Amino acid sequence: MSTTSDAVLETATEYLGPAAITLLERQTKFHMQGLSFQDLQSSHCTELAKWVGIASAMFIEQDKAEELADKIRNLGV
Amino acid sequence: MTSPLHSIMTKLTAGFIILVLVISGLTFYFTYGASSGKIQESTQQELLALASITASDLNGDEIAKLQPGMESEVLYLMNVEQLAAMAKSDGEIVKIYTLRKNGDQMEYVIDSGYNSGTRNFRIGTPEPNPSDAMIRAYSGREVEREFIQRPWGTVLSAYAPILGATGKVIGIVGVDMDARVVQKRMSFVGQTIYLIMFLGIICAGLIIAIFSRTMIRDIHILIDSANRISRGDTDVAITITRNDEIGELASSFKRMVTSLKILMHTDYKQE
Repeated sequence: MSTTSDAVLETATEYLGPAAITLLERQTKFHMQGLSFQDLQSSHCTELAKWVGIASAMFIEQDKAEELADKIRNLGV
Repeated sequence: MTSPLHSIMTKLTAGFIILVLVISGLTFYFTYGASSGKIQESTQQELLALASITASDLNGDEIAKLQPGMESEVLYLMNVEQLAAMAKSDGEIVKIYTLRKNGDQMEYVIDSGYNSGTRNFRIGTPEPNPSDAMIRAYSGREVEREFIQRPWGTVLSAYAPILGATGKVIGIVGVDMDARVVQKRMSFVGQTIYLIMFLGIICAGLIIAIFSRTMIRDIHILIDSANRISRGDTDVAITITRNDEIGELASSFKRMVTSLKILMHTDYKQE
């Protein structure tokens, strides 16, 4: 697992709990050309943040979902 | 549903009230005696001051002239009026009187109630049991340490010497306050402490009820949410926003529910 993957997972788990890994893996697999979440690099964070924001809004409040997306986006900076 | 007996709210309220009771009880125990003693002391000082003022206003040489049978004479009546006026100036004084030695005995001379229907003695009526304080009052002002029984009631008394023109002690003046007045003053302290205890318990009960009410309400929200989830309904919204331990519990609970929602969602089940 890459350093970026670890950081993103840790951040996402704060909002989504232990199922965060399931959600993240699905986003990278279906929206980022089959990328494995384990191989995530900081350059992927902006794209991933967009999809995580959309997907997580189905499970948590909109403002929290945007907050999570912002945090993931910032990990790529 | 938790019974009221086992509710956290009941336990907190009971605990707080017991705490207030213990603190108030200890305060009462350690302060009541001292406060009552101080009040009795200040009442004694008040009586001593009045006795001294009265004694200094009286003409000792005139009093020395008063003999049995002179009750209708102007000299006696003027002194009676003077003592009555002093007694009237302090509504809590029962009687002011003068005493003098007659051989080995002590006898009453002037009674402040002579003209007001509360006369208890005439000139020369002996005091059958003069107290030590009465006898010592010939040397200086004195006060009874305890209540004493007089024909006009149970009283707290103070005495001061009456001087003649040459400075010789002619007799003493006695000032009596109704014991009920003193006891009322003393019991005021106890009643005040009881009132404070009562108000403290009411306030404690209200404060703990208000605080615990919001806490219990939020716990009930979590319980209801947990019950719904345990029955398969993950469409629960936990709206608790607190910064305390319950808020932390709610956040953890929210994460758990979110995870369940993700794992139970059709898209993710297919993974």
